[in-house]
Order: sequence, then structure tokens, then C-alpha cells
Amino acid sequence: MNETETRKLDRKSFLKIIGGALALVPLFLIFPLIKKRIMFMSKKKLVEIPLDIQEGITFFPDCIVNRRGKEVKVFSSRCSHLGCRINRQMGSELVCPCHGSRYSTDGEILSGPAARDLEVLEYRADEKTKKYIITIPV
Amino acid sequence: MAASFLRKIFEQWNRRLPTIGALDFAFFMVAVVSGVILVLPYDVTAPKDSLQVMMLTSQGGVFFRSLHYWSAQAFTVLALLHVIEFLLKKGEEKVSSGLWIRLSVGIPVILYVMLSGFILKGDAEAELARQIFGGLVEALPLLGDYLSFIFLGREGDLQIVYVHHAATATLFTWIIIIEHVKRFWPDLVSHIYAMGLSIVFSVIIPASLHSSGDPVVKGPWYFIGFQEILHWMTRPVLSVAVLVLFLSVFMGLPKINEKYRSRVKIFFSSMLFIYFIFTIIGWAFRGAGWQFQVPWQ
Repeated sequence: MNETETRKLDRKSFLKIIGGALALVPLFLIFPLIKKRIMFMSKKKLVEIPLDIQEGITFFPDCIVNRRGKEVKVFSSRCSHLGCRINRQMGSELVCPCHGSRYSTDGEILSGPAARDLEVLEYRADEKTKKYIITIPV
Repeated sequence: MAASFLRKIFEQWNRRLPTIGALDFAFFMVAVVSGVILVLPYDVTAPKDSLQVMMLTSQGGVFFRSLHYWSAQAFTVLALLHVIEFLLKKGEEKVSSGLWIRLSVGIPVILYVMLSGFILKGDAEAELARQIFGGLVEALPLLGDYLSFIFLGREGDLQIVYVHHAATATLFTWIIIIEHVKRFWPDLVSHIYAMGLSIVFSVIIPASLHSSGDPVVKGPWYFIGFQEILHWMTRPVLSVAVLVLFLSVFMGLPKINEKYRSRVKIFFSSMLFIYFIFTIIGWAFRGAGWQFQVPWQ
């Protein structure tokens, strides 16, 4: 058998290559669909909480509010390590349930595995509705 | 020495009982059939509520959910044992390279089937597992957001996870099993063993949901070790890179020179042992808020 014969493409291999190439076509069609779906589902969210929220830490699904007198701080409840929702205070610390990262009640990182503070969120007070309106990023 | 000891155990097992592979297939079928029954009362828009209603109002609901749970756990454990047994027998040399790659991909798919089932419980533990894996996949560069959506959907919406658990990933696993064992159904004796053991466990220890009053929230047992590893990693995306690397090496195992292949197998066994240690640490010594606790506390 010479070299030319061994390199010859047989029918089965040819069909395999064509089949593989055709399998990529749906991928190109599916990705824009997924992208649109993600964009549709990932909109900025506005959360409303009452102006007379209690003193200290209050947990909401998307944010954590720390009120000290007239000073109000709002930060994301998503841990900066893997995005888990922080919903627990132990003493003066906020603890991530997933991997145990610890933050101060001001959202500053105290111990890892997370390396960054909790994200501070923008909010405004609406005197008409007597609510804080918090913008939750995507 | 450890390898020959394990080989002897597997040989004794296969001589006295249905083979590990056959039993594994039978447990898979029990999980599939009980899963199909659970589809009827399960509501993907209110997962925890629908499960609670099912379990509080019907003895059959408790039974079939437990049957699904225990058969799936047994399937996972036996799948792991079968992989070890297969490697000890140098099984990678006996299958085609295409099938070996599909079997290798089957390992993460099985874990995904298990994880998606865990997430579909909809309780605090399930939410935790979804957040960890969602965050982990989203952290991947370029395709992270896409992959997270494809496999886990969006937070608070379990539809995609449900479809994959009940159909896509289960079908893929079934097809791989059929191609591997060259039969559609498990044999009757294995089926009787699998059904009998699943029923006994379901009656003695019914599957429960996580109590909302329990401050200790952990992932499924097979991922507790991984959760411990992530606890020490500031850049969790590296863990995914390492797992992809391991899987790639596993896929390429038949191509590795036989002289080095046994070393690679020893390396994998060592990793599995270390993972087992991490699992024990996480399971026994982790309390609420990641505080240290002893098992009897």
C-alpha cells in the first residue's frame, strides 16, 4: 500500500466530517436565541422598601439594608465570591452560607474565601410613596 | 497492593451478587420509572410546596419520592464503584475510543443529573446548590453566562433544570448505558435486587426536605467535598479549570503509554481519596455559619 492510498478519504470518514460540520450549524442558530432570552430575563430590577425600615440589619432577597439612625446603607446580598445570597447574621458579622465568607455589617470583607466587599447599591428615597427605591444591577 | 485488594473485593461481589454494572443499570431504571411517576404531582413553579403537599397528603407520594431518592443515590455510588472496577480491569483498552470519550462525559452528566434533581427540591439546600453552581459556571470566561443559562437557567426559574433532569441528561445517560452494556433493560435478577433494596430503604428512611428552621445548610453529599475545596479558593473558577483538565486526561487515558497510565490511575485514586477526606470534614465537622462542630453536636 503506497502513501497516496493510505491518505485516501473513504466514504465513511467523509460522511463523518460532513455530519460533524452540519452539527455546528444549529449551534450558530441557537446562540442568538439564548442571547435574546438571557437579555430578556436579565433586566435591572427596582426594589421598594419602606422608609421606616427597622434599625440594624434587614435581609431582602436581593439586598441587605443597614440602618443606623438616619444613615442607611444598602448593599447587594450576593457574596463577592460566587454570588450566593447572604441571609444570615452571626453576632456582628454577615456570613455567606455557601463557603463561609464573612463581612462586617457595612459590607466590608473580614475573611475569605471572598476577596472583595459586598457591592454598594444605589437608592433614592421617594417621599410620595414613603419608600426607598433600590436599583438591583443585573 | 490496594489495587489487588480492591480487585479481589470486586471479584467476590461479582461472583456472589449481580455484577456492579448490572446492579447500577437496574438502580438507574428504578430511578427513571419512579421519576416519571413524580412528574405528575410535581409543580416546577412551586417546587417545595408541591413536594410538601405530595408528601403530607399521600403515603404514595412519600414512597415514590423516597424510591426515586434512594435508587438515584445507589446508582451514583455504584457508578463510582463501577468506574474504579473498570479501570482496575483495564477496561479503557477494551472499548472503542469514541465510546470511552462518551463514557467519560457520562461521569459529569451523571453528577449533573443528580445535582439537578437536588436543585428541583426547591428547599434551602437546593437554593444553595443552585447558587454555588450558577456562580461557578457564570465565572467562566466568555461562555460562562451562556453555559449557566443552558444548564441551570435563571435564578428563581427551575424550568430548564427540570427539562434537563427529566429528559435531556437522563436520556443521554440511558443512551450511554445502552451503548456500554449493549442491552436496553437490566436483567431480571439485578432488577429484583435494585427494586428490593430501594423499597427497603424507602420504607425505613423516607426522603425528607430540608427543614426551614435548621440553620445548618449543606449541599448534596457528593459535592460537600467540593464545597470544602471552594471554601479555600479565592478564585473559584480555577477549580473548574482543574476539573476540565482532569476530565481531559481521563478521556485521553487509553492513549497514554501503559507505563505512565498506571501512574495516572494512582494519581486519580489519590485525588479521590483526598476528596473523600474533604467530604468527611464537611459532613461531620461543619456547623451553622461554617463554625467548627463535632458530629455528635
